[in-house]
Parts: sequence; structure tokens; C-alpha cells
Amino acid sequence: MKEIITLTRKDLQLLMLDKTSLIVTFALPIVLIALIGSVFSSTFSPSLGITSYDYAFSKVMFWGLIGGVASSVASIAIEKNSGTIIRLQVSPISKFDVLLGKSLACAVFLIASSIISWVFASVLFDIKTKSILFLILILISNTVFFTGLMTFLSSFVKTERAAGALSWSVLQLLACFSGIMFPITIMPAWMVTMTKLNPVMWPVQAMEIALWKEITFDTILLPMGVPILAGIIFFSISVYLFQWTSQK
Amino acid sequence: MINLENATKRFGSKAVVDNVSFEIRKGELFGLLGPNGAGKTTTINMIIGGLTPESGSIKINGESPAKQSIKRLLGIVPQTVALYESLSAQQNLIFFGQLYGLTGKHLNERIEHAFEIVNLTERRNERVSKYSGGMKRRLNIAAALLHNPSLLILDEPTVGVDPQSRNSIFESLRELKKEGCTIILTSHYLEEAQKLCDRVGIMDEGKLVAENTVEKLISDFGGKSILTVETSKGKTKIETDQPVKEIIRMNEEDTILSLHMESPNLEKAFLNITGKHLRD
Repeated sequence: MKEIITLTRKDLQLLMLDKTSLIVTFALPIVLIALIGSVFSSTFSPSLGITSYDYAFSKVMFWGLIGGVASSVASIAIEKNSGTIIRLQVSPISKFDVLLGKSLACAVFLIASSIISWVFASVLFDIKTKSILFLILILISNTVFFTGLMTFLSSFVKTERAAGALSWSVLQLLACFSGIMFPITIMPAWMVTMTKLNPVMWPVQAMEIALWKEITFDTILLPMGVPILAGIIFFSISVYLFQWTSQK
Repeated sequence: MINLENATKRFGSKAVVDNVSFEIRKGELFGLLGPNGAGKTTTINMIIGGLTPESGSIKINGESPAKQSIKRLLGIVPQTVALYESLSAQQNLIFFGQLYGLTGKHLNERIEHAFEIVNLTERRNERVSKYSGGMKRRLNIAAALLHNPSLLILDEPTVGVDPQSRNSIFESLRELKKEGCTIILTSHYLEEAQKLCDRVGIMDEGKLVAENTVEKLISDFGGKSILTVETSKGKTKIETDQPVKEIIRMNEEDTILSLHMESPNLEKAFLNITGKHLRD
């Protein structure tokens, strides 16, 4: 366990030293909440029950997660490319532990991004939070999902350039069909069908529930359960792929 | 210490390592030589447990290299500089030391020792990205020494290194050998292998084509000494097994004005064994 924490700490240290990672993971969502919230402030009537800032936060905080995932995928690609992965593979820790250590670093990064943007939006724009407890649980389930997705994407990249191209294109595509980029209510029917097949839709719904919708066990079960399950599946496939590709 | 028996590894239909067998004894400095694509790195990757042979076996102290207890014995210096460029040299060594379970005073002592061996103590707090190529190579070696490995594997450690750093690396390896460390070295530079290694294995197209002590390989395959002698009659080139005798004989016949002798060496032995120069 000590070795896994060592690995996590080192990865976090590297992510914190990377200015681009910091900007896309922490600064981008904050700027977007302020920008989108203020641009659409007049279009949200009080009868809707939420402000433009409530809405902006529930969508824009995912851009921080997407940025964090892309940064983590790139950091694994750098590790593969620089040969440090060989040192990790030769060290007395298993391949599973290597991936777990890296996943924990990504998870801490993503949780930090979510919390910072939530604190910012709450303090400055007084956004609604129906249940702090459920918000915490949903942030955890979202983190499990995006961390699993990160390890999965990192299985297919060998260079930093490939990491950037693959992670941003896949994540933007997923964002497109999930309600992050366009509200589901304005989507054509075929797009709504696509959205239902997209696992990212569940974390987006979960955020809306934690922030301003009615929370019951039934309403929260799928939006929390599906991302956790998908994250674990992605991670398991990644462990298998990591072991398999290291023999190539 | 290390035993390879008919180890074979294929990538697709191509056997990159083909039926390779050799043994490395404890405390030995063994050189694995061969041109690019000979299968040296794949052999090394199998020895460190990164790749599994499709047939044959590889044992370290009688055990599989994939075992955690065996991994603790290994120190690897990969061909690429395997370091975190945005961290300092000290931060890199702390991380790699902690991966092997080193902590506190013991970790600090090992880091101190590793920096001393590679002569980088003064620059320990600088970011690796600020280091020269030679310094990075030396730190690459230091990172493999922290846990006091009994088997150190160096894959082309002196590629792109200036002569000063190269000598410093040689000194480090001699020092480690004195401390009882078993060392495997792959290299393009036959001269350095000749200077450093007790025994060498020569690989070509995935096969081990020769394996013996440096002296034996030179005497068996290095050819004859070539004397270029200038006397009043002109310049003559002579190939001989007994150069000293030949020089005395020629000097008795006529006064030698100038003399150049090319002794048999590992490079010639390599050329005779594989039919190609190492950089081919």
C-alpha cells in the first residue's frame, strides 16, 4: 500500500507541476461558470427554480473532469514514452498496483477540481445544493467513472500527442451526447437515443439531482450505480490491456 | 546467478530471440553485444521479467524473474533515460527508493551513496530537465542502485555520452563490481566491452553466435597482429601471430625506421564471427 501511495504522490506532484493541466482542470471550469452564468442570466426566469449559474455549474464542472482525464492520460503516455514505465514494471510492485496508483492520483485530481469549482460557484454565485451528502457521493461516483475511463483511454496511447488527440476527441464526443454540451431537451430524437447509450449521461443526471432535483433512493440509484460499474469495468479492462501490451 | 536455457521470443512470426542459452555467474561483468535488432534488448527484457519467453526458461537464482523476491534483486538502467524530467534529481531518487520500500535514514544514506558513485552530489537539487545528456545517463544509473541490487542490468548506458561522462560511468561500474554486484551490459562500443567485461556474448539476428571470455574470443577469432614496418627498403605490412619475434627478426635484417602494430581486438573478433561491423 505504501508503494501505491508513493506512486500516487509522485503522479500528483507531476500533474501539479504541469501548468496546462492546472489550467484545464481547475481554471477552465471556474472561468466558464462565471462566463456562461452571466451570459445566460437574463434567460433563466425565476419560475424555472434555478439560476443560470446553477445550470452552468452542473454542466461546466464536467469540463474540469475532462481536462483532468486528458492530463492524466497524457502523463501516462509520457511515462510510457520516457521509459520510466520500465522502471515501474521492474520494481517489486504489480502491474495492478501501478495502474491503481496512477488511478488514485487521477481521482484526487478530479475530486479537487469538482470541489474547487463547487466552492467557487457556491461562494460567488450562491448555487443551489439540495444535499451536500448526496453531492459528495455523486462526486465520488463520477470520479470512479472518469478515472476508469482515463485508464481505459491510456491503454491505447503511446505518445503525448496521441494522448491529447485521443482523449480530447473521445471525451468531446461523449460530452456532445450527454447533456454537457447541449441540453437534452433541445436534442433531436436520434441524438436523445445516442445519449441513452452514453455512460456519461448518468453522471450529468446525477449532478442535477444532487444540486436541485428531488432526491430519493430510486432517483439516485442508477445515476450513481451506472458510473461506478462502468468505471470498474473500464479499470478492469485496462489492467488486462496493460498486462497484455507489456508482452508486445 | 542467471541461467537462460533455449529462451525464444517471437513478435509475430519473427523470432527476435531464437533459442538463446547462456549462464552468468555471481560477481561477473557480462557484456551482451550485437548490432541493432540483434535481440539484445528483448533478451534483457526477458531477464528482468518484462517479457515472458515463449519457449525455454530464464532463471535468476533458480527462480522466475517475475517473482517479487527476485525483482528486489534487480536494478535496471534502460536504454532510454527513464527519469522524471520535471522533478529534481533528488526527488527522482527519493521516489525510486521508496518504490523499493526504502524510508528515512536508510533511504537518505542510499541516495547519498548513489549520488557519490555517479558523481552528481553537487547537482542533486537541480531539475533533471536542466541536466546535460551525460549527467542524465549517470543519474539513470544512480536510480538503479538505490536498493543495492545484486544484479545490475545496463542497456546501452553510454549511448550519446561525452567521453568524460563515459569514463565516469566506467569507473562507477568497476566500483560496483568490486562491491560484488553482478552486471550485465549491452553495448555498441566494443572497445568499452573489451575494457570492462569478464565475458561477452555476441548476438546476431536473434541468435547467440559466440560466448566466452574477452581474451578467449580475441585469441580464437581476433586474427593476427598486423605490423606496418618501414625500413630503408620501404613500407611492408605483415600479419603475424608472434609480433615481437617478427620485429626482432626484421630489425636484424635492416634498421626499422618506423613501426605500427595493430593487435587483435574484440572488434576484429566480432567482424570475424558475424561478418559485419557492430554499427552495420
